[in-house]
Amino acid sequence: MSYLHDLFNLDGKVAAVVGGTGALGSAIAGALARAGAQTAVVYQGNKKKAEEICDKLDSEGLEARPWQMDVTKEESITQTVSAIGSHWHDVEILVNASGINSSTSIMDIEETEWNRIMDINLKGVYWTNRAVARNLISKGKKGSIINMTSVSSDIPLSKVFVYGMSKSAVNNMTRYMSREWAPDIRVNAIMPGFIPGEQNSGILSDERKQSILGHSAIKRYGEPDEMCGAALWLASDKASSYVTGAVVPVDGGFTAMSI
Amino acid sequence: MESITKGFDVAGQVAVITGGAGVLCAEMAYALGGSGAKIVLLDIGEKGMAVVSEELGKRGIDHLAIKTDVMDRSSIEEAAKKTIDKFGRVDILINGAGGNKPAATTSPDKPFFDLPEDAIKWVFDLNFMGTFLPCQVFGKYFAEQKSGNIINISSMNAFTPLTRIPAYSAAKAAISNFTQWLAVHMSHHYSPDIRVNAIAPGFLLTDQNRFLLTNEKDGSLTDRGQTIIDHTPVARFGDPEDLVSTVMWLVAPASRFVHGIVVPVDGGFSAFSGV
Repeated sequence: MSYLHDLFNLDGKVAAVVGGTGALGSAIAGALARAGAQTAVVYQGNKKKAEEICDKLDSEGLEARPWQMDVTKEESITQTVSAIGSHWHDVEILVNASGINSSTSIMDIEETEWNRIMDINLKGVYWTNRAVARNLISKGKKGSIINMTSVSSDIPLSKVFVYGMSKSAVNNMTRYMSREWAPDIRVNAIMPGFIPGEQNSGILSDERKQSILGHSAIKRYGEPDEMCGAALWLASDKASSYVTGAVVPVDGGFTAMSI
Repeated sequence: MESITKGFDVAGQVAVITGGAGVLCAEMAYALGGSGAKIVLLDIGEKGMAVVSEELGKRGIDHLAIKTDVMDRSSIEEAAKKTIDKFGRVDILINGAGGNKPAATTSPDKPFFDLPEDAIKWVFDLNFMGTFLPCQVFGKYFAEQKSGNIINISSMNAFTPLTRIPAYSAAKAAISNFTQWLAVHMSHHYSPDIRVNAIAPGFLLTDQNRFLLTNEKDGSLTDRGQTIIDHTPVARFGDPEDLVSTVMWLVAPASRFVHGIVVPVDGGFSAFSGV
C-alpha cells in the first residue's frame, strides 16, 4: 500500500473546509484529516456541530479545529485565513462547500433572496479563493482549491433557478482561476449529483425524488462519503498534479443520461 | 491513513489493459500491479509487450501478456478466455489501445479532400471499434458477475477538435459519447456496480510524439509544441504519472459514485480558450 499512501497522503498540509458542518463539507473534512492534513472546519453559525465534528476527529488522534467565518464578509474571510495560517501554517488546501439553495420560481424571486444566494454561493467562494490564493502566491507556495458545484450548473433542473446560475458561475470562475493562477495553484470543482443534505432538504418532495431516480444511471442517491475520493484525489498534488480547471461530476451517471 | 488507502485498494483485482505495451499503459500496469492487482496485458506488438512483461516479472507482479488485435472480436474473445482460465475472473478493463497515423492527418501536401478513405477508417476502427469490441467481450463477464470497472481513453480533442487529425478527433469524441451510453446501459440492464468512465488526457510527451513537439538537437519546443504550451495553463506537458494517479482513483472504491464521466487530465488545456 505504500504507493497509494504516497499518492494520497496529505501529511504536513493545512486544509480548510468552508461549510465544514454541512453533509458534504463534514465528510470531506473528515477525509482530509484522516489523510493527514491539519483541518479547519469552517462554519457560519453552527458552532456546536463544528465542535462535535472536530472532537470526533480529535478522538481518532487527528488534528481538526473549528473556525467561525462569514463568507459574505471579505474581512471575516481574510481574518480567518490569516488566523488558520498563524495557528498551523498557510492554508494549502481549500474546499468551498458552503452554499444555500432555493425553490423560488423565476417569476417570484426577489432581489433580497437573489442577493443572498449569489453572495454566499458565488461571491463568498470568489473572496475565499482569492484570499487563500493571494496569500500562497505572495509566498511562492503551491495549493489546491476545490469548489463544490452542482449538476444544476450544467443542464438546468427545474426549481433551483438562482442556485443553478450561481453554480454555473462557480464552474466558469474555476476555469478562469485555474489559468490565472497556474501552475502553482490548481483550481478544480466537484459537481455532486443528488445527495440529501441541508441545502436541498426543503426541495426534495416525493415527486421530485422519483423524477431524479428515474433520470439517474445507477438509480440511487449519493452518500456524502462518496465525495471524499474525488476530494482526496484533487487535494493531493501527487495524485492530480496535471489536473486543473476541471469540473468533475460525481453524480452516479446523472449527467451521462438524457431520456 | 489506513482508512483512506483502503478506499483506493485494488489488491487481488484482475485488470485487463489493452495497448499494454505502450508507455502510458505500461505505467498503469506497474502502478496497479504494484498495488496488488493482477495484470493482463493485451497488445498487437509482442516485442513491446515482452519488455513490459519482463519488468512486471521483475517486480513480482502476477500477470499475463496476450497478443491481441483489438479490432478483431475473435482475437479479443481468445484473450478473454485465457484471462479467465488463468485468473478465474476479470474486474477492470482499461481500453488504452489507440493511435493516429500520418495518412489520416492533413498537411500542406495532403489536403482534407485527399485523405484516403482506408486511412480514416483504420484510425476510426482502431480507436472506436478498438474500444467498443473489448467493452462487448469483457463487458459480458462484468454483466454475468454483476460488477466491473471500465476505463476508456478519450482525449482533449473530444471536447474541441484539434487541427489536422479529423478521424482521431471524431473517434475520441465517439468514445466519450459511448462511455456515457454504456454507463447508463450497464446500470439499467445489468448492475449499478458496473462503472464506465473515461479519461481525456491532454498533451503528454512520449516517444511517439517527441519528434513533433521538441527539436531533436537541443530539446527546445517546436512551433506546435510551443502552441500547446501557450494554451496549457500549467505550461508543461503531462507525465505518464499524471494519468496513472487518475486511473488509481477511477478504479478504486473511492470513486463508486463516479459513473459515465470524462475526466480531463490536461493541465487546464480544456479550461482555457487560449485567448
